Amino acid sequence: MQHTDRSTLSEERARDRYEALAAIADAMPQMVWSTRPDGFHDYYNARWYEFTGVPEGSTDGEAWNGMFHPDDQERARARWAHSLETGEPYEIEYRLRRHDGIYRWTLGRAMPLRGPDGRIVRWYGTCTDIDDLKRMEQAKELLSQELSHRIKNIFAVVSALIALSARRFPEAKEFAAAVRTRINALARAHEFVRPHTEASRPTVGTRTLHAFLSDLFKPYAAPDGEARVRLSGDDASFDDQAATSVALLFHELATNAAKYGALSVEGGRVVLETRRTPERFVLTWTERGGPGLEGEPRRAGFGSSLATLSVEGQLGGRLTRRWEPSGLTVVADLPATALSRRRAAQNVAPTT
Amino acid sequence: MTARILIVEDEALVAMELQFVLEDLGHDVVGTAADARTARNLVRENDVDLALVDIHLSDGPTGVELGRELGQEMGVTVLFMTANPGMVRQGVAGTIGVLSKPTDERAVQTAVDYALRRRTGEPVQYAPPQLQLFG
Repeated sequence: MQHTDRSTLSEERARDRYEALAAIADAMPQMVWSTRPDGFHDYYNARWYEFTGVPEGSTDGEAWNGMFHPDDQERARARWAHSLETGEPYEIEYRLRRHDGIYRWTLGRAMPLRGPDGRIVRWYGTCTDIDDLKRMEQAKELLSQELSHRIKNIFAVVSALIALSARRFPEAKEFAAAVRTRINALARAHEFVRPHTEASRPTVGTRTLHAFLSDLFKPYAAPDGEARVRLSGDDASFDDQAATSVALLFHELATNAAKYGALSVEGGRVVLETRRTPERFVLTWTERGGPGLEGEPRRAGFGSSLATLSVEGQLGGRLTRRWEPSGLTVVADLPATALSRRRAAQNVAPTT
Repeated sequence: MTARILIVEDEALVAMELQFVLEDLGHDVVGTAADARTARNLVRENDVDLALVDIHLSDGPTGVELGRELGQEMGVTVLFMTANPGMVRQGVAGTIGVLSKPTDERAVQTAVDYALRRRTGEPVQYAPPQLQLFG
């Protein structure tokens, strides 16, 4: 007698608790569902029925999958089967059919509840409508792509404007060509640091320093396409703040080599070695096989000032040049963080 | 080698500069089109050997489809010239390749030379380094 009383009591308690949980679940802005350990859906909160508009109980068992966009059904089924098999949390984005027939992007998640013996007792899951968020993300991506495209276009227009302006003044031709190639170098650097989408990512592959440099040095390749500036050592990522300086520095070094140095004769080569130490990032430009040098040139051109300004003014490093008989060596010794200052700044913990 | 060339570009200054460069090289620029429809009409009305095609035109990103059509259906050799070469990274059937803008006279010259040699079936050993070839 006593025993029966107690069991009735605990049954009542269980029912009370279930009702309390259901009330909480119904109050949530998300859709909530639950399944048996084998994945059989036997509970959905009110929000699910409100969103989907299906009759109560009609999506029990496996029927939930039919509410998904046909293109997402198989993927969702496979992911759910994987979670049931392994006990790993379930997380997936799919399009869920709303009561008005419109598919909305939805984030689905579920976690298993385990008993004292570690066995899964139930699965509890939620669906969150993320369609507005998805749309905003897409709009933002489109805007940033559009902006980048316009910036690249402005580079092309400016470059054309310089060339057109110089046509009237034959004596300015050389000057105009020099300015143009500098602007083109900046445009190339921009291509490597701007925000990218899958479609606009540079064809060269990655967006690292080496990838950018090998792109910048392409015009100096041998007729058979073999690179005449060889890159070696540690690669690095670089950001928009460093892009201008890096582009100008190596543009000046390469054009100078093409005019007077190793790239001015057939068979001449340059080795560019980049080395990272805990504190520094050192780039060493070594020309070999060019016309012999007789010490430091008497007059430094504007290109040389630009190179110095880029390294010492903008990047906070030191630029040293050595005119050896075998060829020019230039060392740009930068603080390790110079190439991605913004990221380095974010990583520094605030000091108190 | 003199060729009849069509420029498809919606930035007037870029188009004009390109026209001067091509004329300096001895080519005949048959016209400049800022959108796909004008480009098609110019090709129908003129003999065109080579088209230099930008991707974003005044009627949207229509250059890709235009280039494919000119190359595959209208017998024109096509080179893309764009500030956003990533847009044609997968390659476009019937076209030669893409030149990244801004560019310089020398790059234009070597790329055009290469494209015209391919058109006439002359042997070409190496492609210019700045030109990204398709397939």
